[in-house]
Amino acid sequence: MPLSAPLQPEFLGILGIDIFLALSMLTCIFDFPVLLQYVYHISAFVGFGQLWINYVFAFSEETRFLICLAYLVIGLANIIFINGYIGSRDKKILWTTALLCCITIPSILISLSAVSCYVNRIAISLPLFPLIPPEAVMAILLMCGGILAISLVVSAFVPEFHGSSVSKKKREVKDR
Amino acid sequence: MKMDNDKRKILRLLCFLLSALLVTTASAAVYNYVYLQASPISAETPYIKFVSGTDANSTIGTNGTWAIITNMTGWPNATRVYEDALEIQNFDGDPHNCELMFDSWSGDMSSVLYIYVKVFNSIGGTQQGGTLSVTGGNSTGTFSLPASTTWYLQWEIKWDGAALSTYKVNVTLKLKVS
Repeated sequence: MPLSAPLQPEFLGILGIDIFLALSMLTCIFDFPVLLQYVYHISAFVGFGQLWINYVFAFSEETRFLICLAYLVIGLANIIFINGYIGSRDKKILWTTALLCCITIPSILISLSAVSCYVNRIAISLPLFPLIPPEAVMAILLMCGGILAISLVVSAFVPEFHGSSVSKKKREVKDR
Repeated sequence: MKMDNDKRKILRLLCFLLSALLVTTASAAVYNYVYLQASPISAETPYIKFVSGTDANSTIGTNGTWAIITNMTGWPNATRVYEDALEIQNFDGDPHNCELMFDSWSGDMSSVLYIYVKVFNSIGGTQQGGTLSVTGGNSTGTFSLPASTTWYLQWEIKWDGAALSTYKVNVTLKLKVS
């Protein structure tokens, strides 16, 4: 059963969270510094916290919209930066184009249409979100924290926190 | 060493993936609970009300949210018109979109040639919206009822020539206000 309701500004925040989560995985796949991967992942948590803050402090709708929009724009700017950086670092047109077509452009288009739908008060059909008891949200967040801690422990054994395997390969070739 | 790094990378990616799944689920749940659920739902005074007309007797329900017109009749082979059978009044300071819709009817329906319901801005004035045909089961379409204004429901009834005085139908309409 689709749910037709005018969008709340926090929908933009949720889009931003998804973008930061995608960024953390992208940077992991493309061997960006581990620190950056965690910064993006923690930024997604910050976005989640922002949903709570917006609710607890009961800001005006305009303020909530501006906060969520700023968060989303930062996420989009990072996606564009990562796309550009991969293009300039690896010089692989195929990867860069694939990223551009599969992630950067769709993210921008979806975000723009969401902002437009919110600004024009258009009710769009959303799939029903999973009904999770409110008590479970805290447990889920604790689980996330646990997983992140495990991930940090795993990464702690990586000797280098900077540089990518691609650049390492290039260095090895030069050394030879 | 490279194998080790690759394993760590895959492990880290798995952790990110799992964590991402949980965060998206949690944020969607929070959005649902915090921003989509309506709470509290309070009661307010209705701003669109039914008011008795001058051409027919009617029982007006509590708060004017429903009305029963009790004494309308129609003639065989002739159209009987009630220009002010019932009134719809907007008590609010803002205009509201309304739509009068057919809901159901019962009785000797086969002997009714037509029952039309029209909305007028004054008795004998300009028709607002379309014509609701009870036999056709349609609606007037949406019309905007201006602030602090009363509009008039006109009923037009025509039975077929063979209709007896014992024949009767009950018609239920509903008014959608937005």
